[in-house]
Amino acid sequence: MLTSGAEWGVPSVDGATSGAGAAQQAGGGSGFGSMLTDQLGKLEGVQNDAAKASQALATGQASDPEAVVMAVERARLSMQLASTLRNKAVEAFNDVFHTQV
Amino acid sequence: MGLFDAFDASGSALSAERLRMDVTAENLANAQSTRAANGTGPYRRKEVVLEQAGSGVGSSASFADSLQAARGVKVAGIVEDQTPMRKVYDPGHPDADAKGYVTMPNVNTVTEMTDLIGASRAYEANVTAMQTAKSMFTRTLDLLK
Repeated sequence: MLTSGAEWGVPSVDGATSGAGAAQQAGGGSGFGSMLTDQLGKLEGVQNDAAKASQALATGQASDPEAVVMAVERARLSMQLASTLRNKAVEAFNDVFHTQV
Repeated sequence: MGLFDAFDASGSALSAERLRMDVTAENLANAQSTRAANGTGPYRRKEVVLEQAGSGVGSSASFADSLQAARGVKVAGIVEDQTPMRKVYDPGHPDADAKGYVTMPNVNTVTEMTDLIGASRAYEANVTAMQTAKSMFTRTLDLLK
């Protein structure tokens, strides 16, 4: 078994990190795990930016509609990237899990 | 180059083109204004000056380096067009001079309309660039599926 106990622990990043546990388990390796946690933290920041920008637009406080669109689009693409990577990692984990012994 | 640099560049261009449209609209709106807001004669045509954003781009830098430092476009400023004003004979006008001539703004409606078309097309081009960057990114992600 390559993964030790410490590497399985995922520091909690509020919000959208429910997939982090599975992804990190599948990926193994502390480098990958901490990278993933970092990226998820950044993802959350991007999502918050998008939410704030949309709210400002909805309440008529945004003066720059392009910035709002950019923030939302960036959040959408980041989420897409994260979820694709997560799915791939879970898939790999399942492949290992279903190995015939 | 970061993941979203193409977006940032296109996004800054979108803002810049919108400003150009705003300024053109202002020019068109004031095409007949014989009194400027600052009280000095008739309205003067405004023009947007754009410059490449980012710093540290020396002339010796390679194109790749300058691209790395580039962050799209930024507005250098809004300047006043210094071409001479139009003179129109209209003795009944309250702003007419002793000889009956009124100094009208140096706004040419036709020029403004072509500027408007230019800004609109440039905006469109940048939206297309953004869409292409987006679809390239999505296509890359599709590789993992």
